[in-house]
Order: sequence, then structure tokens, then C-alpha cells
Amino acid sequence: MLRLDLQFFASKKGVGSSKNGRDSESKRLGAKRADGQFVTGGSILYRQRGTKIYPGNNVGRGGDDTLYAKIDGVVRFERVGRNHKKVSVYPLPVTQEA
Amino acid sequence: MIKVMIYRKLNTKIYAFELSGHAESGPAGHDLVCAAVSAVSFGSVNAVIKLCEIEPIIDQGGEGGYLYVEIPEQLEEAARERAEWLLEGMFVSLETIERDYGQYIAINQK
Repeated sequence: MLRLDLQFFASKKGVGSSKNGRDSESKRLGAKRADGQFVTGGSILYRQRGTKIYPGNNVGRGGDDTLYAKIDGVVRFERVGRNHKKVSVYPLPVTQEA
Repeated sequence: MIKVMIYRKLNTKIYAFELSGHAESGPAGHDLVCAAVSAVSFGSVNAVIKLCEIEPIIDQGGEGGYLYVEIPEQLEEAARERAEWLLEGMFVSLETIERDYGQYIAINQK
């Protein structure tokens, strides 16, 4: 008896085993705070691999290159030279008590 | 397109048939016309083998896309007649597919 292959008369063109099809879990990198946003000390500002963005004033760099605020303040993304950027946190100006 | 050739003796009884080509009515694994033609043709051959208790001459393309079946010469008449009727049934089924999916299957007779 013949074994039935329902795709016996189907074109096998373009059907090869692809060696692709794998991907790692996305790490949700990128900015976590916006320019001009108020943050508290310890807040994560930017997740990255390597230093796409450099740590500026009052910003620390973690072991995985994550940038975080060292103090409460307002976030500022600034240029460094022609091609680079840094992120800084500036404390809010102290208002004089009336 | 699947090409079907039906071989008849003196334009009467079917003694062999040949299917070749690919339907290409859909991507591999989802080619509906191919599935229909495969089921009809394979089913008919297995019916001939089982119901007529004969072993037809079969040439099946390794990679798919080719099937040739012939009823052997030395046969008891009753078995041959049953086989011929079964192949006529297959022919009608293939014609049914061709009528509505003519761009994927073409039947000829010799």
C-alpha cells in the first residue's frame, strides 16, 4: 500500500531548514527617564551595554553600565563633543523662605 | 501545475495513469490542491491494491511530484474490471478538482 503524503505534489521550493529563528530575551534597554524630569537619588536613568551615554554630573555608572542618579534633581541629557552624549542630574534651586 | 495523463486501451478502459508536477496552489505544507490530488490518487491506488488484491506497477518520484501506476497485464478478468472501475472513480474525482481548480491541475488522456 502507498503511504499518503498530502503534500506529495506540493512544491518543495524555498522550503529549507533555516538556521535562524533564535533570539534572546529583549533586555528593555534605553532611557528610563526623560530630559527635564525630576528624579530621586538612586533612580535608574539609562540602561545600556557599553557607554552609549556617558555619566555626567551627579550620575553614577553601575556594573552593567546602567546610569543612575546620585542625588534628587532634574535630569539633563547633554552633548559631549560631536558624537557623544552624557546625562546629568542637577539639584533643584533652593527657593528662599519668604 | 499538476499534469495528469490517463492511459486508456483503445480509448476505452484505463490501464495506467501518470501524475507529475507541483500544484503550487499554496506554500508547502498548506497546498490544498496538492493535498486533494494526493489523497485521491494515493487512495485510489491503495483501493486497487486492497480490493482487487493485485500489485500494480508503481513508479513514485523520490522527492515527490511524480507518480506512475499501471495495472499489470496478467490478471484475472474480474480483478481487472474492478481495478478499472476504481481508476474511473479516481478519474472523476480528479476531474472534479480540475473543474474548480483548473489553474493548478490539467488532465489529459491517451
